[in-house]
Amino acid sequence: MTPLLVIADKEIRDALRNRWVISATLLMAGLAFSLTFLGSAPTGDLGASRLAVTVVSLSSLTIFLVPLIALMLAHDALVGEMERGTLLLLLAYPVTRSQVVLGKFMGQIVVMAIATVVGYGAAGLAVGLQGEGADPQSWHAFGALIASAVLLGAVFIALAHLVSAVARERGGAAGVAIGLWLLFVVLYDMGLLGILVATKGQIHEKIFPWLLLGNPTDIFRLYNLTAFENTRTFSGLAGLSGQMEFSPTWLLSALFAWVVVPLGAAMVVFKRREL
Amino acid sequence: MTETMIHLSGVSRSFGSVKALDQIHLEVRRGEVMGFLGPNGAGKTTTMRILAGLLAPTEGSVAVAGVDVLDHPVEARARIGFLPENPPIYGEMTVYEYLGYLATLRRVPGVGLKQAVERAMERCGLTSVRDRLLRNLSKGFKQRAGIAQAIVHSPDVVILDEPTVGLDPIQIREIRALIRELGGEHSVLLSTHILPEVRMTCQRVAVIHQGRIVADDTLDALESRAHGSTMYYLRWRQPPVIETLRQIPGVGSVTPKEEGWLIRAESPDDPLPELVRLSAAEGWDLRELTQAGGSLEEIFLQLTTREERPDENEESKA
Repeated sequence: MTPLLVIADKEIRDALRNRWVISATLLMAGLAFSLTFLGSAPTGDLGASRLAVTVVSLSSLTIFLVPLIALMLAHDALVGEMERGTLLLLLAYPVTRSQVVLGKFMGQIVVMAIATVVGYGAAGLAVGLQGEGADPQSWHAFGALIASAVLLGAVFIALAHLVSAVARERGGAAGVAIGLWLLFVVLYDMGLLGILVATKGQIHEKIFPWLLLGNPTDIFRLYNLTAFENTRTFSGLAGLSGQMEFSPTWLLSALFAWVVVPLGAAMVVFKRREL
Repeated sequence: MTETMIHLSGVSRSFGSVKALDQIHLEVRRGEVMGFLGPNGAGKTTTMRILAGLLAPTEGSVAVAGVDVLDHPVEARARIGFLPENPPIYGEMTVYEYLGYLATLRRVPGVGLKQAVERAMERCGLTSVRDRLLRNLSKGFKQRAGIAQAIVHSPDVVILDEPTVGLDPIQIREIRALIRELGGEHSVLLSTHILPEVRMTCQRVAVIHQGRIVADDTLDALESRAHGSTMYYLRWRQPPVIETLRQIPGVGSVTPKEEGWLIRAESPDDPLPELVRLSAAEGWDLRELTQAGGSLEEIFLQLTTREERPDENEESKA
């Protein structure tokens, strides 16, 4: 096994041991079930498939939940080991610093993926087993939701690694992680709304979509609410999607860039950091 | 027995304007246990971290088992077993899991991994606690686990940074016996400021002071060298100013120690008669006078309490 896999494997075992996996999975499953069976009650009147409604509801839930879980899971990935003194040991081993960051990142992605796939998957499966609203396109949208939720998790894990590489202590890293969550989940969109109000909606139509790319949760939302026809219709974005600057592939690429850039920065910072 | 396993040449390291290491030269041969002595803050841990590839030197070269640590850090680290000052443990793992994880990271091949872990546990006396969580073990056992991870891959070089700090006397005795046993199979660099530890475990000793190596020799050679210079400890009720003491013929250096002064005599003049005469004549009221012999502790004091002089580095090389 390469050092990368050994480190990733340990991260997964640690998350299983300290019940991160089970807690995150249960939380995601519990909320997904609630939204699926309580939030999609009016689908009969609207004519949308139940699974499509679930996708739209889970998209909103994901924006709040996944970044929070990811940041909490990974904010002390490096600084925590620094405080415990085990990082010093790890770096005296025949592994590179990049391998340490990547190995931890990979392990945490797996943890996030297990929680998302099992948590959301169980809710989706429950809808499917009910024998209603399970058309292939809805399943496709549901699969894309899970995959993009894992990708969104990867974005925030990467951001948490950057925080962890810079931070001097765990407490500070936790504070910055919460700040990041507030920024991307609450404040950024409030800021955009503020701009719209201040300019009376006169902000240049070419600029606004690009501003949305400055927030990974907005990219995720745009992707899931506009990439598939049934979710577009139900979310009320069918008209907007025709004017969208970005294709679904473009949006996924932007989300992917949100993983690569902070993770790369985390590796550079960590490489230069003196212990 | 003459193959060099650790080689530091002209190594310096600065932290901002502070020079932690200044032109360090050090060699450890195959199978040798070398003591690395120095007072707190002398540069021991910095040297250890440079050797382990955790810090880059500002200048100089470092090689472990013939592999350049700066050019090939991963290959060099594969040949080292390192125990940092505080035992680095994953408290949520059992001893067996901990060693298994670290042995895998050391790329111990799968077929030999179990045997390697078993052997390391056996050598370090950990077999009885193999399934216990590390966080529930005593400090002595944690330290053993730290040493076990350093030898689990049978490295050429083992670097131990203060391995007995905080242990009780029984644990200290056991760890020292283990370190002695490691010599022969591994080359060991043992950082410590506990002098009896060096005497009990090491064949050779290097003394570092203020970032410079001030002695590097066998224990016997150091002790015989020390007989060429004498240290006196004097305590007066009305002590003179330090300049007065420095001007007495034969006084090499004057260093405050506890309530008195440590005075190094410079051959060929012995300053003692004049010191005693002046004590009586000037009314300094001499209360205590002790002559230091050639024990390791005294050698250490001589080497690490002398005053800085421009030509001192040349003296220590001679």
